[in-house]
Amino acid sequence: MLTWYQWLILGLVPPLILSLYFLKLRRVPLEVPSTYLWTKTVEDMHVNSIWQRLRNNLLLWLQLLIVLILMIACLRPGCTGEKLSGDRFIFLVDKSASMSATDTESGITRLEEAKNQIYTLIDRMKSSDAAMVISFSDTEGVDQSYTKNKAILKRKVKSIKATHQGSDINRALVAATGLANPGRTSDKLSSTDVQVADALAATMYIFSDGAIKDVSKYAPGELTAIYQPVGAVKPVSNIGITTFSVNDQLDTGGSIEAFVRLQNSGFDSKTVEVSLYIGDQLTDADTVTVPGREIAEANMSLGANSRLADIGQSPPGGLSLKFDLTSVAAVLESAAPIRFKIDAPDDYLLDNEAYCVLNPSRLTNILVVTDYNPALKLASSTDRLKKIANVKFSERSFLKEKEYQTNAALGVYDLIIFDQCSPETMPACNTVFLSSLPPGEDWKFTEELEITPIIYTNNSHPVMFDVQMQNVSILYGQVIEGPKGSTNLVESIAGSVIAIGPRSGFEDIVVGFPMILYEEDGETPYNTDWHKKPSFPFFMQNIIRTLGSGSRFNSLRANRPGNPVKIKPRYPYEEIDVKNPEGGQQSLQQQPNKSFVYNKTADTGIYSVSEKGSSEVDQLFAVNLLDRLESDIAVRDELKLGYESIKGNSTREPARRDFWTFLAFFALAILTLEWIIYNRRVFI
Amino acid sequence: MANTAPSKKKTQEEPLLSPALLAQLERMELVSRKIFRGRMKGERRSKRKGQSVEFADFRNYVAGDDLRFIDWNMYARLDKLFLKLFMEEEDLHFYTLIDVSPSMQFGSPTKFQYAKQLAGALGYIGLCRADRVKIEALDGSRNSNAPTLRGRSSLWQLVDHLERMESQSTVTMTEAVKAFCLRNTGKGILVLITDLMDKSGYEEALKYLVARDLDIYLIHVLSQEEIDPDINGDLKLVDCEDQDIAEVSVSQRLIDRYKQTLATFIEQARDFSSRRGIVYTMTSTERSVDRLVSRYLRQRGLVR
Repeated sequence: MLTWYQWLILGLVPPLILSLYFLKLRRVPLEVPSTYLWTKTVEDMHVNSIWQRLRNNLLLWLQLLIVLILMIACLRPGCTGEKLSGDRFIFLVDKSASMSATDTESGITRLEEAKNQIYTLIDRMKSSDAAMVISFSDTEGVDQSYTKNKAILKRKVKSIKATHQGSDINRALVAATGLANPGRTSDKLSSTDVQVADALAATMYIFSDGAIKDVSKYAPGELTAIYQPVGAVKPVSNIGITTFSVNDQLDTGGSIEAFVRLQNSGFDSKTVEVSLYIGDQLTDADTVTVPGREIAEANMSLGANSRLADIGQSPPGGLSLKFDLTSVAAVLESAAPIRFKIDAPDDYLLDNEAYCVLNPSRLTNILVVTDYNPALKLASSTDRLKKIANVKFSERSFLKEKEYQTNAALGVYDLIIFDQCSPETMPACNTVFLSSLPPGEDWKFTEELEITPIIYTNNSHPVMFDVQMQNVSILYGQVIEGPKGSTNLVESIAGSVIAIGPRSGFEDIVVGFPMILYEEDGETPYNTDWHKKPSFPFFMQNIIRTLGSGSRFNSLRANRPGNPVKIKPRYPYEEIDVKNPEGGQQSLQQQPNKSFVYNKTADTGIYSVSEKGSSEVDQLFAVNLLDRLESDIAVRDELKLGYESIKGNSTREPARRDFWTFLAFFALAILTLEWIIYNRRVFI
Repeated sequence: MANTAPSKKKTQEEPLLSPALLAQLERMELVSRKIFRGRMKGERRSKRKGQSVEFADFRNYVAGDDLRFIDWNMYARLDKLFLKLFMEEEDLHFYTLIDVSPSMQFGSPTKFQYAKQLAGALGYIGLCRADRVKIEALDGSRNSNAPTLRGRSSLWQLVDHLERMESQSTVTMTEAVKAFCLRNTGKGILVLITDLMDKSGYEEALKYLVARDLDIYLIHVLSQEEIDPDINGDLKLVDCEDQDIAEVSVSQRLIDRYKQTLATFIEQARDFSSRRGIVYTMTSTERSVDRLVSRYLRQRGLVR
């Protein structure tokens, strides 16, 4: 903008032009026969006031118009937009599932809205400005590193596609902050830690709906974060499925139930129709009312819009549903997809359907190699275990037989328990060694103990869940040293007595003490009272469930989109085909541990697994988002990054898109016109 | 107006009256709308009864009448003396007044040259019909050296007189006309060739002429640069006669206005003339003399 004296100077220009028109011209003398008629003519024209002369002088008006336009140009007229300060920008785009919600003003998805906003920002960039684009869901990717090329930036922004995944901004922030603050490793005071490059200040625009996982660490450094909330300003009601699972029969005593939790992100309760399909068959339907957000007492008196500001204090309302599937599962012959659906359409459709798979039971093949161990036999024959495992007992001599060697090499067994014996080569499955060592140098007994007191139990390991060893008495025991990466499960005074260690995709457990001592006189006294304690059956069950893949519904675990899924087919196929919900197919090679890893789980839905080339489905698995954060589509007004809280930039800065250049061009055009008129002497 | 000098030179080199024009003019005759008394016997019917072969009237004989004109046949039939009257044929005064003010020196050819050509052409017609031709410059002098010419043989005198004529008079038209009227008392046809560019006005001068009861023809000569001025820019216009200055910034509007003023001026002159029985003809120097004489002046009735 101009200062007052500049305006004064500019304001003096029009009067100056006017006064120039009143100045006497230096005229060229010309002799004429008579000035008689000319004088008469001029007198005629002068009869009218001098203003009339000015009024009809096109050149004067054009000159005044030019000055007026230039004055307007000096006022810097413009329209609203977004102000971009700084010269380096990072556009962080949330492409998580909730960005597919269509609650924007124009009805497009939030991601499209965010893209449009970025296009505008890119347009506002100066030609010397550089920007980069990072998109994130629960993974992150640098779509475009720093560039000044606006066309490339726009193209890259355009190519960002919405995912079905959750949102985790952590790694995107690391990438962004790392680029803004390069070089320094840790210690600022250290003289040896030299900063390799200058930190470059950058402005980071985060385009998100705010439904992101908490950020624990955030050190912005030279980075200025601006949060641009995308989505509806008014509170939106979205009913979403946040939990859908089928329970483990082992836990409920035989009944199979599907659990559903619905979440309402709006303030008002909403009634919706829900339906449950098994295969394509409608099995159950219901009309349920999901309560709205629980409004914090402090916000009770506020209006809905003001409450939205404190959305963090008002958790979304929820409702749990339960469906009994026992009778359905009993007649099931092959794997069946279960689909739960909310029939009311809303702004965010991705969470209106959830999937699950009911696989027919596959008993875990367990081989127990022992000459005599009643405790083991007893523990393996509980009703519970019988439902999930097919336990076979064999003499130690069975190890020499061809049948064993073939089955062990093919991976027919899921788990082999070697009681005081060991095979010549390790089988292709998980193993448990009771008072014996796997062949090879990896495992060692380092010390023998006459009495083995238990001083520590590692209950955080899945094998030791609910296993209390403190009250177990053990006489003879050996201290174990496992291979690299092994974990101590139970420790005695001199070291570990139960340990678990990895072996190329499998896991081996070595127990350092025998249950039963085989004495030379043929007596078989108990070495421990573990078998009398409740902890022993728990231990056995844990072993069978974790190492033997003994869960009857092994696909019930929620696979999240984007995460790799480990597939263990019923038969040891060399190669399998996996078909995704869209119908796309991919072949997978067997991994060394006889399983397959599928990592293209981008879409939610039911995936089917079959032997390569076969049309017979081996098993199904489901990929669900089921994310409370994503389903709560209310736009957060504030983004918490570490200890920093960034207010949403929802009231966009009144901004400028300057038009003075157009005006200047216009003035130039008029000047050209005036020049033409003056030279051609037309119209004057 | 720098382009006037060469054109002036060029026109002076041309003969005033070309042989072709002269041949055309020989067949013409000056016509007077009025019948005047001449001084000498000429070829025109006079008001007076005279000795021509054309019978006019009878009248009673009174003592003293010439016996030669008594109609004896009538006397034999009626026994009364009657005199037989015949038409008299006389000559005609033909005056041409040329405006010799400096403003006549403009145009291509100059208005003055044009006026001289026109005067010569009309004068030659008069000479051929034995009229008394007198061409005078409107210079306001008391004693005119203009010869009064008669007969076709006087053509060289006429041309000589015209060529010697110069335009340098600064007297007003009124004064010049007044001086002419004092010098000449003869009746007849008067052709006034002028550009009427007189700041004191032409009306007074025309009134003097009208009072002389002459058959007046006013030929208003304008140059093309007066009719459609081709000038540009901011100019200081200097009057060649009185050095009067008019400052103009030429614009299309001004040009339009000038043309409007000129049209009004011409219309006023025409109106003024026709009210007083003066035949007004406006011509541009671009229009050739023979065309003017053979077409326009014939239409106006000056020549036949």
